[in-house]
Amino acid sequence: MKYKIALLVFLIICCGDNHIVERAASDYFPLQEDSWWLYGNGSDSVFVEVEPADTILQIECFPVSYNGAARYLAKSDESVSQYVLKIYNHAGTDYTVLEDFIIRIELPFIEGNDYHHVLRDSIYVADQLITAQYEIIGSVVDFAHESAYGDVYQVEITTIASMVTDDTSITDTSGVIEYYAPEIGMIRFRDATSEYELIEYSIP
Amino acid sequence: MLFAFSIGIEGGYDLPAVGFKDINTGSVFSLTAGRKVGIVDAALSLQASFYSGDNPGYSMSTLGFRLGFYKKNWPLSPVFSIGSDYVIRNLDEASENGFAAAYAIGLLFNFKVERLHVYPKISYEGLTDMKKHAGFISLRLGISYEI
Repeated sequence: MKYKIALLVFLIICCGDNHIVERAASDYFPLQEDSWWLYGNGSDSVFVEVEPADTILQIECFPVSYNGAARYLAKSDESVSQYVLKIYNHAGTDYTVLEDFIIRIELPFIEGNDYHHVLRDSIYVADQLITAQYEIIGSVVDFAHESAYGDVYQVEITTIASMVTDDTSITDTSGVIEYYAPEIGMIRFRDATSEYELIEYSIP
Repeated sequence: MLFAFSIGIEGGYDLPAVGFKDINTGSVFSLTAGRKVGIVDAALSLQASFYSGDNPGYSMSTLGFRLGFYKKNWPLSPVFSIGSDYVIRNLDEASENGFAAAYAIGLLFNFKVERLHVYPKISYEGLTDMKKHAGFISLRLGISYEI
């Protein structure tokens, strides 16, 4: 009888909804050429596609198209970084104020991981100091088991982009909540206006 | 001797083999107590391990028990074990945990000098949460003493 109880306890602790091995051994951000994900909110859709690799600032990255608008992402053991380019236009000429990669997502996902990364640079244009700053504040809020996907992480990302000149200051803040599933990537995201669900995807 | 206990220690090195793409290497240490059960030798062990990640801020550690079976009087013996692990994952200050079932299959080389038993062991050490499995190739050296 005591062996049956021990076996029952063993199975209960190993078969719960907390799948630690799945979370530890899965890729939550597959970033491969020709992968695509289609999201919808009932009336609108977003098509995300990974295009052939490119090299920017000597870093290999993938252009990821969001309904045609490209975001350059580079994946490493530690993070998914995003290419940031901030340009100031003066008298019809573009000046690069800020150009670098910033960490958008820290890997691997661990519940409770909060991070804050900042890029900041300045240049003088026509004797005027131009300062650009790009911040990403991220938080892996928690994970929850979803029967269709497995253990899904919820990640909150706030982006603050600002450009400061002698007489003006422009700041743009946006937030998004993204949900990541093992071996699939983002399955859901919610911005200020709507929530999009994964409809279909392909990862070669 | 019909009824003999042995106690020992085991230590070694683990390399990720299946899954665990974020882990670089790991080290394992265990305390064992064994006795003969029927035609096989059984060992109950308390095992702790630490794995460092490819991300320097990431690590995984486990604490658990194993019940293993092997033949001490064969020069080369298969070894099987089953158990359970409490798994902790850390990234900088953040951490999460959970339970997993553990199993192992491998070979050990028996060297006996009177009551001292030395055994190099190579095994596949698997972990599963019944949803996904992953594991390590493990190289270990064990020493036990028969009381």
